[in-house]
Amino acid sequence: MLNERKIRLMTKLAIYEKKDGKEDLKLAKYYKGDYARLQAWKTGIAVTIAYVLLLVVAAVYKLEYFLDNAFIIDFKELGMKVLGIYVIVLTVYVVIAMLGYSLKYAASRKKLAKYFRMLRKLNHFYLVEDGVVKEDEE
Amino acid sequence: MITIILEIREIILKAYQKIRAVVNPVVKFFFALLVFSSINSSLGFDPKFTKISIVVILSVVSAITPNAVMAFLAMLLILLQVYSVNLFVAVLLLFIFIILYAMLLRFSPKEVIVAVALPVLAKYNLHYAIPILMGSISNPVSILPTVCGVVIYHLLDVVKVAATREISRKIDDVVELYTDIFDSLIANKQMIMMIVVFSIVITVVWFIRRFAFDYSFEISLGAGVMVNILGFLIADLKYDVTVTIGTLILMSVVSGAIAMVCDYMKRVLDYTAVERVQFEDDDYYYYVKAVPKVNISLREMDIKHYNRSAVDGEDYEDEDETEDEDYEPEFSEEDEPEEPEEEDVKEYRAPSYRNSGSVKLLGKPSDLEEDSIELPEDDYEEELLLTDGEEDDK
Repeated sequence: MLNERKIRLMTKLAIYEKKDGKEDLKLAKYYKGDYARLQAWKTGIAVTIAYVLLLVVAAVYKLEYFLDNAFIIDFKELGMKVLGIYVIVLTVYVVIAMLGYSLKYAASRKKLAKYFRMLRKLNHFYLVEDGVVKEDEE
Repeated sequence: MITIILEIREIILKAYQKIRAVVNPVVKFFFALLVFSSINSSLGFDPKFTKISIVVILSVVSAITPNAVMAFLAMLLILLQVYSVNLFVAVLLLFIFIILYAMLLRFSPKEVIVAVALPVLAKYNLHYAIPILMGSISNPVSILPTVCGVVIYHLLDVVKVAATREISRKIDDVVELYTDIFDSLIANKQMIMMIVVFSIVITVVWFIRRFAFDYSFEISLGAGVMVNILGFLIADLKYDVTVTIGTLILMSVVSGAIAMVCDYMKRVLDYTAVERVQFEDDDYYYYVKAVPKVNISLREMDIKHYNRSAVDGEDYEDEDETEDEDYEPEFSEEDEPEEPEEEDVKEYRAPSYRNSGSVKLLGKPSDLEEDSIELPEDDYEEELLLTDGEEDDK
């Protein structure tokens, strides 16, 4: 026999799993700190790659200047400058990424809480069903 | 008058519900067609890629895949077109695309399409709509793809000229070419002003829209349009950026209207999406088509106001649910009503009192037995196509 209430509940669960839930359930595999750190690492790597490419492009852009002044430029100071900017950019990106992804995680937990509440209800249906079966047997 | 508008709205929604699966890819196809052909019209260096067949194939692929694929294909097409005339500019472009992706685009993967749409819309001066729309449907993170779009728009202008320059393969020429490209990018005050103004517009629209006062949404759009006009006027006066004032004002207002329609459509269409899901339990496989209840035929609607105590039975304690648009039930387990008998369930259709605060019955009141009324717990009518689990197991 069909239990329409259970079907409705299962439909809602399935719709959630198909839409927002896909992303939320992926995040649910991590603890908050782990997730934020993983994303911060990814951001750090991406920013590093981008920075290296930027340096290459900038080097070509300023190539003429470098060749003309090869003996005057203090490469040590320039290197420190480049490194300093890199550290600042990296820190800004990583900190914002940690914050942003933590917020994202928190938002997904809120939606997941609803989902788990529905799952508990579904579980309740099964408990009731099982209870009914036992009563009949007795 | 309002009744007629609402009825027209409902007819459109109902029709859209039916053909949604077809309409979305078709709209996306035409947008992709616009994107690829506009790339080809401005950078049509290699006739191989300008062929209509290539453009159509790319558009079809974009129509049936996520938005990010369209953005990727557009970048690829730009690179290939530039590569066909100038290897060095293509390499530079590739670098810039990677930098833009790593530093800006990867943080909002769902909005990558903005970076592609902005340069295309800018041709028709409709790019003002993007920050207003992003502010109203997204959050300030969408500043990143918008900035990307602005950079790409100006970059393409520069590249279009630079790529056709005759250069030898000597390093001097290449360096000079790069220097020229960067000089014209960095000196481009219009690009910087556009980035600043668009960022402010997104933030302002998003900020005002979040307030709970009446018409906050409409006011936020108006504020977005105003900030846009004022921003570019200031840019025009102070930083000597050329802006055609008439076009600016007209297109800003038009963009505001477009953003309003898009936002409305997005909200309405999100809520009216027919969902098809499948799942199973121990006994059955379920193939469920969940249709949101959007029927508001006002003229034919038969509203009966019931005294709640007349309808309330002991068994139906969870009738306080008046959630709207949301398909998650909120009642606690203690409030869970007992399961009604199956025959009872079949005798009526679940009434909806969403949006009205009163009980709206879809069936005639005379059809209803008072003790068989069950109030709804969700906004979906399920159409169930059931197969017996045991049969399917064979």
